[in-house]
Amino acid sequence: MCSCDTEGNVDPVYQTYFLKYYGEDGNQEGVDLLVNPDGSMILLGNSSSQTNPITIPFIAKVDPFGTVQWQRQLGGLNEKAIDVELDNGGNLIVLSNYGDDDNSRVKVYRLGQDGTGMDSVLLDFQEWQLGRSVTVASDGRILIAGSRKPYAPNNLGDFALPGEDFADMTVIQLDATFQNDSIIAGFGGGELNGSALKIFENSSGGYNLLGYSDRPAKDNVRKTRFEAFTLNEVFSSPGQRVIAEVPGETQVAASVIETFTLPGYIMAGTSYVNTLSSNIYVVSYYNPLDRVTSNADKMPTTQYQSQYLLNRRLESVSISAAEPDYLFVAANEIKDNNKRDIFLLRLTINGSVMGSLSFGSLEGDDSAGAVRAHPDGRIAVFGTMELETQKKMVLIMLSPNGNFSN
Amino acid sequence: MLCKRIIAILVIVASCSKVALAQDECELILTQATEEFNAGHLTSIAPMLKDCLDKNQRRDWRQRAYLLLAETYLLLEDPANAEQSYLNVLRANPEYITDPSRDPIDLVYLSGKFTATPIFSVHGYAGPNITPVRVIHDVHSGGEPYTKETYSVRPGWQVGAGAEYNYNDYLSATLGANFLRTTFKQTTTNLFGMDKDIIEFIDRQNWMTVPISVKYTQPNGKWRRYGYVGLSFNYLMSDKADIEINNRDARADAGIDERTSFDKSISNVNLINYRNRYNSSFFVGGGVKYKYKLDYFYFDLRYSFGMKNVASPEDRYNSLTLGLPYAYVDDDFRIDNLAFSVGYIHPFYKPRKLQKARTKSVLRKIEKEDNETN
Repeated sequence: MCSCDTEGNVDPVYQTYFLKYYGEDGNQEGVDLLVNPDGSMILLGNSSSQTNPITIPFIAKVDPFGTVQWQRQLGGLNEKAIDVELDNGGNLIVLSNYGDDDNSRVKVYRLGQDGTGMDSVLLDFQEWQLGRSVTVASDGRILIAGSRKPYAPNNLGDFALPGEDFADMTVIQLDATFQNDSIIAGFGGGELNGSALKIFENSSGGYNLLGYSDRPAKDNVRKTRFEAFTLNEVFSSPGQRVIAEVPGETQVAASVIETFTLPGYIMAGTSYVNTLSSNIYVVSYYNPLDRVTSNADKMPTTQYQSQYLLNRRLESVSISAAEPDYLFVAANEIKDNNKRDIFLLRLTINGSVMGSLSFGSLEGDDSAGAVRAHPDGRIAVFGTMELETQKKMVLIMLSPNGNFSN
Repeated sequence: MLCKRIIAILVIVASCSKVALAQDECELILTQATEEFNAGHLTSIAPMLKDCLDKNQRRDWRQRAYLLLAETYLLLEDPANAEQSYLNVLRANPEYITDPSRDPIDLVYLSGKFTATPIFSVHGYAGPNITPVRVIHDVHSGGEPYTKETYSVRPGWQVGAGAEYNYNDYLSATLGANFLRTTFKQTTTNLFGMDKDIIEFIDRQNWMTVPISVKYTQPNGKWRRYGYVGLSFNYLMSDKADIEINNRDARADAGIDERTSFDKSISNVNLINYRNRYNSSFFVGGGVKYKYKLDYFYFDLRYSFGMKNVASPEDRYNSLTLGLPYAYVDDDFRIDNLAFSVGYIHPFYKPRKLQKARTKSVLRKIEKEDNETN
C-alpha cells in the first residue's frame, strides 16, 4: 500500500495484449489478417466515407505490438478487398472483388512488404466472378477460389436444375507473372448455389478444394452443406467428394485451414437451424480427403464434425490453428437487436470447447474478419468495431487463454 | 399575547441590568483588592474576592482575579493555594502566558509548572483542488505512432474533518476523514490520422481518504505557521466520465485541410470497474492559523503525491469489450492533488500541572530578555 507504482514495476502488459483501432477518414471494415513470420501483421480492410458506402480497399502493416508501420488505400472505388496471402518471395498477394452483381470481377495485387505496389491485374472473363480466397502455389501461380456465373452447358439433360441457377464453385488460375489467366470449372455444375472457399496443393500433384454447395448428395436432397473435392493436376475431380452436414439444417462454410498435427483440413462455417437460429459448425477432414476407413464404407469419412450449441446465434467467419494444441474460431454473434458482436471460440485441436468470449458494444454493429495464431503464441482477432461516430478496423491481441494478460 | 411578550422583554432587560450591575460591583472589588495588595494587606484579598468568584464572573475578570490571588498566595508562602489559583487562571484563559517583563518572577516560575496546551483538538475544512496526472505508461487506443495524449487539470473540491493529538506545543499528530472530488481531462489528438479525430475525456472521481500526518506548529502569536507530512489511504467511491468525440474527416467537396466533424458527446460513463479502488498518497503541506478567541481559522495548502496506478491493467480493455463504443483506453497513471482549504480548529484545552516543571526554559527566557535589555 505504501510502495510506489512506477514505470519500473508496473508490467507494460498492454504492449503484448491490447485492443487497437485502425483506419482513416470515414468508415473502415476489417476483413483479413496476415501474420508475417517476423510477427508483423498485415491488416486488410475496406474504407468508405461517412456519406457514401462505396468502398475502396485499405491495407496497413503493423509491428507485433500493433503500431502502424504503413497504411494506404489500394485500387479504386467500388472494390472490396477479400484476402491477403504471402507469395513465395514474401510479397503480399491481395485479392479483391471489383464491381457489383453481373459486373463483379476479381482483382489481384502484388505489394512489397513496405506497401509499394508491384503488380496488379483485373481478371475479366466477361461474366461475373466472386473471389473468396487466394492461394499461392509452390511454383508461384495464383489460385483463386470462389464462385462464378453458372456455366449453363453443365446443367443440361440429366443435370437440369429444378430452379434458378445462381452460382457455381470455381477456381481461377493466374500465372506468377500476372500475364495469363484462366477459369477452371471442371467441377462446376449441379448446384443452384455454392462457392469454393480455398484450394490447396496436395502431395500427389493435384489439389484439394473445399467449399459448400447445394448439390444433391446420395440422399438426393438439395440443401447446402460442406463439400470437399480432390482434384487432379488439371483440376478435374476424379474421386469422390466428401460432404459433411447436420441433418435437417443448412451448412454454409466460411473459412478453411490446413493442419499438420492432425494432418488434414479444418473447415468452419455455420449450421442454420432456421433464419433465427444458427451455430458454429466445424469439420476436420483427412488428407487425402477421400479416405474411406473400411471396405464397407461407401462414403469418405472425416476426422470429426462438431456443431457447437452455445445458446447464442452465431455465424462463423474465420478459423485458425495454434498447433499443436488449439483451434480458434472467430464468429459474429447476432444479438436480439440484430446488431453483431465479435465472438471467439477456443477449441482444442480435436474440437473440444475450451472457452469463449465476445467483444463489442451493445448498440454497435461489430463484426469479425479473421482470427490468426501469432508465432509468439498470442491470438490475433481482427474485425470491425462500430464506434459512436464511425466504424474502425480493430485488432485484438489476446493470450492463448483469451485474456489481456499472461 | 402582547402583554406576555412585554413582560418577557422586561424580565430579560431586568436580568441583564442585574448582571451588569453585579459585574460593575465586582470590578470595583477587584480594584479595591488590587489596592490592598499594593498596600501589603495580603490576608484580606481572598475574602474580598470570594463572593464575586463564586458568582462566576467574566473570563477576563476571573483571569485577573486569580492572577492577583496567585501572587498573593506566593507572597503568603502558600504554594498549594498559589498553584490552585494559577490553575484557575488557565481555566479562565487557557492561552494565558506569563511575561517576565510584566509579571513577578515568582509568578513566572510558577507558570512553568503548568500548561493548558490542548491534548486533543478537532478541525473541519473545505476548499478547491486540482489533480495533475502523472503517466506511468502511455497506452493508445489507436495504432498510429503519432497519436498524442495530453492531460490538463480541472477544478475539484474537498471537504473533511479530523482530530489532532498534541504531543506538545510544537508537535502534533493528525487523523482525518476527507471526501475528495478530483477531475482531470485527457485530450487525444491525431487519432486515425494527423490532425484528425480529437477525443476529450473528462474524468470525475470521488474519493474517501484517511490522511495521517505529523505537524509542526509555531506555538505563539495571533498568526501561527505550521507544516506537516503524512500518508493518506484512499478509496475510490465512484468514477464517471464525460466523453466528447470529434470525428474530423476531410470534406469531400474541399481540400484535405478542410474538415467536417461528426461529433458525439457521451455523459456519465461509469469507469469504476476499470480502476483500482484502493490507493495511497504521500503528502506535504503547510499553512497559517489565525487565532480567533480560543479557536483558530486556518488556511492550508497541501500537495499529495499519488502512489498507486489508478488504472487497473487487467481490466483496461473491459471498457472496450463490454460495450463502451469509443476509442479511449486508460493509460497507467497516478494522480497527484494540490488542495487549498479553509478550516476551523476547536482545541479542547486542558489546564494541568506538569509532571516535570519547565523552569529551565523560564530561566532561559528571562536571561534572553535581560540580554536584550542590556
